[in-house]
Amino acid sequence: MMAAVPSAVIPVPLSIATLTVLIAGIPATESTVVFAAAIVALVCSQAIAPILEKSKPKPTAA
Amino acid sequence: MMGAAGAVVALAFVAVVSAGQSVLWPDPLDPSAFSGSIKIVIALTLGGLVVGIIHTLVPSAQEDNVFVALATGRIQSDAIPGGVAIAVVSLIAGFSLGPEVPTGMAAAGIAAFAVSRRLVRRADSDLVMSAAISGAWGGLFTAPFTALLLSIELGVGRNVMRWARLAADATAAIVGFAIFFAVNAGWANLIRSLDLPTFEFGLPELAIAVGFGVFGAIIGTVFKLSTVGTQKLAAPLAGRPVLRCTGVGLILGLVGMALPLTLFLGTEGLVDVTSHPAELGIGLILVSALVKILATTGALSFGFVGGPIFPLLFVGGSLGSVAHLAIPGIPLGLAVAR
Repeated sequence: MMAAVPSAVIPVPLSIATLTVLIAGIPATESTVVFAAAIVALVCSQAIAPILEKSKPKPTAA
Repeated sequence: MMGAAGAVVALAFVAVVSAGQSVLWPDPLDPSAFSGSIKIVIALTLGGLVVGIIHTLVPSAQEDNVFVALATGRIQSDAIPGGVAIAVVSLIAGFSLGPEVPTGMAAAGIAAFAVSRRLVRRADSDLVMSAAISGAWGGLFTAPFTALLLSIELGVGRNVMRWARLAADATAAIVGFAIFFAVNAGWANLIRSLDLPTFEFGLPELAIAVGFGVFGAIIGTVFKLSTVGTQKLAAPLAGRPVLRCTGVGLILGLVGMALPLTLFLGTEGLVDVTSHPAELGIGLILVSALVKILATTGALSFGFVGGPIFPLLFVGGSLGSVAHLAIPGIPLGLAVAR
């Protein structure tokens, strides 16, 4: 979750995942799941963003 | 040279903040609920008052200024001193903000100064600004290639990356890291390594990671919605910075008194949460993580300056601990780091 949450807010998943691997001391093979979570989070947040935009109330003409 | 200059200003920023925090907060805070003292309320309220006064005296840069600088090679130079001063006060007082934005801002300011004095060609302004920021972040994150990756990823889609810039950023990030490494002082090392148990890697773990990625996107969306909501709350007070910043300082001080884990950038708190999650309890960790989202977005929306990356790492790591406590079959190392 350390990698996934920031990657959903700031679109820099590789940097966040690398930083997480360093902080958590994850070995090379296991680090695959960190990068996977970060990239999935970014993709999903990009998919959610247009839905949120559409759901915003449109300004009415004066 | 720009990498070294960026690293030196970042080091100076961290030194000032660390010195201020060691005077104001000499003892580590107890992470348990309702353990904070009235000193927290006083520190954050006074911090808000000082930030409000700075807003009335000088223009100040916002947190996205440094990302714009990376893309365009331009920064609003006159707003940098005010922005950095606000960040110093915000971080010393204990607001839930990280140092990556103000250090990048200060480094970009050095580069802008060099361009304005014609020490470097104006055509290379994006290159020197990016190198200065990479130098600052290479040292700050104690990971030069994370800084380089940040520069590359922020440049993607803006069509600003070129080989000369890549080489300059890589060199600057390594120089920045070397300067922080040479100083080798405890106060300069903001990153706290976690001692997480190992887990066996396999397809089930990869599937769980994908699930955490989806959940992380939902939490990230909550962060964005919280930003929009707090910006709407702050909008009516746009012309009254002292009232706006002092008021939010008082509120976040009361919140910090009740939930000390919502204070500061979150690196120390993350060590507490991941080293003995069961002792703190699922409720406290969950509430602290969710309230920290409000504390960070509230501070940013109401005029404080700092970075969101470190608080977000805390939020993600804490929610991972919650997932491990709720479903013990998910290894702590897998839940936290994903």
